[in-house]
Amino acid sequence: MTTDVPAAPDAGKRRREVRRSAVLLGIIAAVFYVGFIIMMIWRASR
Amino acid sequence: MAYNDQAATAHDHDAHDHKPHGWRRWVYATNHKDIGTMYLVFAGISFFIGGSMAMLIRLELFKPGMQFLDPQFFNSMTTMHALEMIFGAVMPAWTGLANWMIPMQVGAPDMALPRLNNFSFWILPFAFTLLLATLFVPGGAPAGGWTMYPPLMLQGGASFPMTIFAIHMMGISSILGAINVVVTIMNLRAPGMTLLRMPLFVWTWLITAYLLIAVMPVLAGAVTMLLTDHFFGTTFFTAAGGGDPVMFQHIFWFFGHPEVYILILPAFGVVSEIIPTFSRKPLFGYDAMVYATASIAFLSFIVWAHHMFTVGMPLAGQLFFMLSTMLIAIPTGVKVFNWTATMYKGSLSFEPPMLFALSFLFLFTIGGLSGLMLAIVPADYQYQDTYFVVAHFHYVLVPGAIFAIMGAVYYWLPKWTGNMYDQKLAKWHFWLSTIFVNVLFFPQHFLGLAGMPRRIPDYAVQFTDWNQVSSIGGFAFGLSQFLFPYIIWKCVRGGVRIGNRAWEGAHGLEWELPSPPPFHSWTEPPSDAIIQRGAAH
Repeated sequence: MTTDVPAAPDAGKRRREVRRSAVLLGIIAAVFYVGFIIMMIWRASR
Repeated sequence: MAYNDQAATAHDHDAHDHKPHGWRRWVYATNHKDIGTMYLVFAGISFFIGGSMAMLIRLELFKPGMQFLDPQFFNSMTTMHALEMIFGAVMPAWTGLANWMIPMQVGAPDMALPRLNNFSFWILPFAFTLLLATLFVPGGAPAGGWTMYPPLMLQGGASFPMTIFAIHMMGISSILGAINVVVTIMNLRAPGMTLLRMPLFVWTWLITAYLLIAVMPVLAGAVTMLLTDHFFGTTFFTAAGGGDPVMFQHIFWFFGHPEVYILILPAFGVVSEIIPTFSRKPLFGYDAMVYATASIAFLSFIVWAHHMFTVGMPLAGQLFFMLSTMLIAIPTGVKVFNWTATMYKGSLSFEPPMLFALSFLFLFTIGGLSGLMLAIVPADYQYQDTYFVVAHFHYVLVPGAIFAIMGAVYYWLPKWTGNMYDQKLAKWHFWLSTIFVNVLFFPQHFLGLAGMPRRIPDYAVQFTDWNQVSSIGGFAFGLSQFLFPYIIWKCVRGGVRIGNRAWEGAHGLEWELPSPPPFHSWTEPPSDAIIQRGAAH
């Protein structure tokens, strides 16, 4: 039995989605990475 | 017939690849298979470097008294062995397998971010060159254990900042690799490849990637605090300045325990691919396997303090961490049950990947059960910092993670090369590894229960016999590993040509591609019929 399969997204749309996901995850990781370090240094300097 | 040796399908697709040649192919690599190969080769080299350090450790421990190594160097070996094996061998091996297999398994042409992929890989050789260079600086390599506990770690010499910088580079590499995996899986799946049709290897890697993004920054923060304590006068972990060394242990293990699952979850995925293939049955309880993996990942965040019961923790804390740790046995038990149920009434055959998967099943379970023993607070007071702990985590990581990596290589190597490897030799590799891994690590349970502490170059004479057995097992295990690169090399050079589906019971999109697959995997998304045929659950 086959189901209704959505058509493949066009290349431009897919590229935008990839870029959006990558930037979002990158921001999350960078904020966490740098934020954790900055928070600790800030707390130590008080 | 053990495998499908029908006439190989067309290999002339290479003519259209336009792939770069020579060193440029590797240095500028953006192809997921090339980068996967580099990761796997890197992991193999690290495995032998880390393994040679283990051989030195076992050599020193063959007899009581000081034999060959200076105590400081011995401690450096235990530290460097762990860092090499965890960050240099097992993690890159999984990333290599992810690079090779995820695009092929989800119906994508490549990873979503190929240049980032190149960058993620090429950070690693520099990180490990820096780490290994610490062996040659004044004061020697780091010797405070891979856990880097202060205040001992803060007393390190020139190696200290080099180690911290190397760990930062490894962490960044892992985070970038994880972002790539998540973006690929979430965006580049073929139409019709719904989340609950994905192969378990893809699922376990998706969850692993989220774990990596969540915990590697914590490690980065912890080691940066060590750095500022050492060089910039902060006192995060220095009691004299109002800091607390135990705080480091909390932060480290908040990273460290999920890290254990980063090492083992992809192994669950691999075993979930291999067992159905060689049982010629669909995986039992696919959905339950997915939910169990997610449950284990969630629980991994709330159990960290079971590594530090003896630091002096309130009773409520001990109870919480003991019980939450024991909870992990439930989803893990679901997995072991489902693998066993998959084999029940299956048409089993025992090719090398299946042998490694079965060995994983038995021996990882031994490691899991000793983990449950360690989770019991009063018992842990007895086991803490003994060889029992060493035996426990080596059962989880060697016949657990590393056997799963070997099983994965033996499973997919025919797909990668288009050739079947020497199965007889691979079975020799399996039997020698399985026998000697037990000779190596099982006696360490007895040593630990008898009270032998870990991370010492010398020991009391009553521990001699089992240490000698363990060392002999270690040398034999180490020697038998040379079969592995030889078998791979021989297979890459040639062998019986195989068709698309190397194993007759194999399902999944990767087996719909030619062997070896074209340079770009799925330039056209696979049809729904192909996806349904692949999704055998």
